[in-house]
Amino acid sequence: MTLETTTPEPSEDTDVRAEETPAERDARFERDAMPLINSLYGAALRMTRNPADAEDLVQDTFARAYSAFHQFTPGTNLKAWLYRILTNTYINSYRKAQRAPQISDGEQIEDWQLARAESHTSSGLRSAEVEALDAMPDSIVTEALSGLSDDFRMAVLLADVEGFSYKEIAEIMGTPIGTVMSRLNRGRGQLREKLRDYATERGLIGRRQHP
Amino acid sequence: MTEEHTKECEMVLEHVQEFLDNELDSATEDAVRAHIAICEPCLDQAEVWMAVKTLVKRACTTESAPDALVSRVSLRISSLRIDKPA
Repeated sequence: MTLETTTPEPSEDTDVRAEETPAERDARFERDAMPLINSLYGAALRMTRNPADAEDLVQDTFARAYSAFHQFTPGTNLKAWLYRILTNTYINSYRKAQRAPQISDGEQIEDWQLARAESHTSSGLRSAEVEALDAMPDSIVTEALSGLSDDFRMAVLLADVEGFSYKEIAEIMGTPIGTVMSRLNRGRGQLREKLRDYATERGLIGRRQHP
Repeated sequence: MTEEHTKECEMVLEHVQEFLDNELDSATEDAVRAHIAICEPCLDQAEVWMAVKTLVKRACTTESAPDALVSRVSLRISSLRIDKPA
């Protein structure tokens, strides 16, 4: 081991950034970041609910990511890093411009009261609600998701579509983990309620089963 | 239904989403798992939340970015590359 005169990087002792040329860094961006464009586009589409805005958002995100790529620590989670840029770009530029309908929150207690109340009705097999959910058309689900507030929808999508951990979502959304948990609980609760309403209207659930 | 059991149901319902997200410490996770195994109403609830998670994932299976967007992004990055001071 030679004498170290510089402070080493926190996680990587062989950081490719120290050695690489600009052309090599461009190639690394192309190789590592560009393949994630489909995933980011999907997320952008569900955030903006509009293909034109989603395309602009992805374009801005990649431009920012490219310009800031020297700040990304190789070996850490690139997807989470890109999602953070996407989320910040969305919050700072697009959300302000969009007049998205805001859902009033404060329904949490009702969601849980309902869940509790239902937890003591007993049925034999899988509940009718689960059966109804499994049969739910995708279009109804995406429509119900669109009805959630931005913060709730983003938390649910980051957890359930992208599979990020609470800690990663907290970093992406810039909030404490407790806020992530509350957004997930309430977002999923509202989603469940909307889907249950749909199923009840269609007569898919609603009648109590008496085995 | 004993009072103790009811308390356990409340604990499980409070943590069931964290349980399904694999975010519980192992002691709490074990407690939730043990309770669900003997309590059908709580099992039903866990199944519903699991179905909601699965459904979101299924319905939002990523749409591919349009080819035109991929080209626009590449073009935009190329222009940043050219503008960049040497």
